[in-house]
Amino acid sequence: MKLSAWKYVKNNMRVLLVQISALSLSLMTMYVIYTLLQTTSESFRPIMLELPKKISYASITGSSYGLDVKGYETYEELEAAYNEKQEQLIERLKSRPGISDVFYAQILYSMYQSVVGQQTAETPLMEPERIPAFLDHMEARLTEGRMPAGDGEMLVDETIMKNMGYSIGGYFMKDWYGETFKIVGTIRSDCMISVGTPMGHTNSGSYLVVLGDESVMDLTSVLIEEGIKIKSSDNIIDGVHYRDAYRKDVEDAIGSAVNVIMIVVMVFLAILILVTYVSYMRNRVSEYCLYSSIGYGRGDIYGMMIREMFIIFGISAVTGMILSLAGGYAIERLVIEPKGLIGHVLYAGHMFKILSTFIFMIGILQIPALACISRIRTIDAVEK
Amino acid sequence: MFQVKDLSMIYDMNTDSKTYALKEIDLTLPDKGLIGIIGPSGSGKSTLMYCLSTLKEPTEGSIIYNGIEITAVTGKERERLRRTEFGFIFQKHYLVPYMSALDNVMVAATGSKNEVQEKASALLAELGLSEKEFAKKPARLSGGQCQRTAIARAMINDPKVVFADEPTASLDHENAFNVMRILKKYSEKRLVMVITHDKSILTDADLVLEIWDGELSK
Repeated sequence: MKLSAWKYVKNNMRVLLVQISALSLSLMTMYVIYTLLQTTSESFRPIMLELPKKISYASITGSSYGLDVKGYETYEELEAAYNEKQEQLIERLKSRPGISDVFYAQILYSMYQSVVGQQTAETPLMEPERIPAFLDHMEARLTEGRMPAGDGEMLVDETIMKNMGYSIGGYFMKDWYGETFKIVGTIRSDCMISVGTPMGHTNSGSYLVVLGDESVMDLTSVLIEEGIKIKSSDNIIDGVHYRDAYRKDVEDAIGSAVNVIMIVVMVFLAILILVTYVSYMRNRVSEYCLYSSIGYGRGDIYGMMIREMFIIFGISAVTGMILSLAGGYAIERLVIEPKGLIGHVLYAGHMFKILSTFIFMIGILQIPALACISRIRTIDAVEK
Repeated sequence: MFQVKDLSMIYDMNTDSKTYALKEIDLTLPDKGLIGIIGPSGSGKSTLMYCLSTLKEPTEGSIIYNGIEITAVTGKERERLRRTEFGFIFQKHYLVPYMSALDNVMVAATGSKNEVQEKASALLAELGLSEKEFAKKPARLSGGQCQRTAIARAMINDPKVVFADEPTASLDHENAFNVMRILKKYSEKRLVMVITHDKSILTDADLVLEIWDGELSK
């Protein structure tokens, strides 16, 4: 008969419950933290990666158009020349494949708050007559309320409405713009766009608004092709701008945070498990010496130890996965969904990553296991 | 069965004051019978048993068991001998605390689970444990029951030699007598070596060896 690993597990469930609980709760903690942080990545994706596939913004200085301030005697002359250049550019851009419309408009900023951090998105303001075509381009549809008809009326994406606690009849970004832009309807789209009509002048700026498809999401290159000498003073908000920001500010930052948290949890867990295992093996030295005395080899005893570890870690992994999914579901229901955020219950890749840390810990535990095996003597050593 | 020649066990070999736990022991033991080894504490009786049972390697001399020079065999072969040919009863019973009496017997077995379970049950019953007690863990068994479980464990593979080191040390008179009766019965077909400092338990021994300061006196 082989030395059974299951006997120890079966007969010491109460003791092992502490260890199994520690392991499975650690797994759940790592997973839940990841789920919460990942919510930020998932939630910002429509604004930062999907929206720029359909709309870009550019604020171009006169010098980039090739205008020399010294060549004009009055500001009005310079402004007229600038407007002419801008109109020419608009016409040229409109004629390019992949661009459906270009116009000059004020913008507002809309805010979207995640569990960690917040993201602002440009919200164009335009004449009421232009809005239906704009919604068509953005593949957005009115879900509640009415279309803007007068000045300072807004249509807000329903996810942002939920996220920011807006309601129809309320004011859009009241903290920033006061009671200026009234929400008259909600819209639904894949890119969380909001739109409205202007109300005088706001200081968020005016931009060339370029409506197009993915082929023109690198607006900087398009403008260079059109002869614009882009400088750092120009403000181009396009797919490349958002993609870089998403990588740097969201994916990298969150990835680093997740890694730091995982390493800290893992280090604490590894210390806890090491200490537990060292004392657990010490308590069983006379048992191992007995096995050695009655003819079991060190390999048999080591095999039993490893099988016990696999059973304990296996039970912990299964329990941890169930707890993680339950935790993920609870977070989805209690935090993510009510806040108008986007997240998932199952992140298989991350679950696999956490489970692989268990394998790493089993690897770490070979140190005390091998040390213990090397100290096993026959029973005469214990009798002393 | 055993032929021991010039067997010595020396501690502190590399110092000037060598300590002999065993000194030039010559001994021949039969295939069966109850052999008592008696001597005071520190006389070397346990060391002799550990050397014969391969638990210790002697410093000098040879031990031939059934034609095998056991001081020269590999560690694997020594494990095989302890697993299949020898049975052990230690001074403390060394039962595994989390296992039932039945599992404690089965843990030493070499056969398949089903046949071993039947045999272990039969052995425990023969040694006077009730079926109810088979499932009890050592903490819930009396000292005598624990020692009888240890005896059953030693006998589960029908070993050719049973080594018993002070098997009655922690038992009352009645339990000590019962244990010796069991060992005497087993010695009718196999060799049983009992180490003790209590001569009174060896009244039925076929041979009593006295050991003093590492040397056999008789």
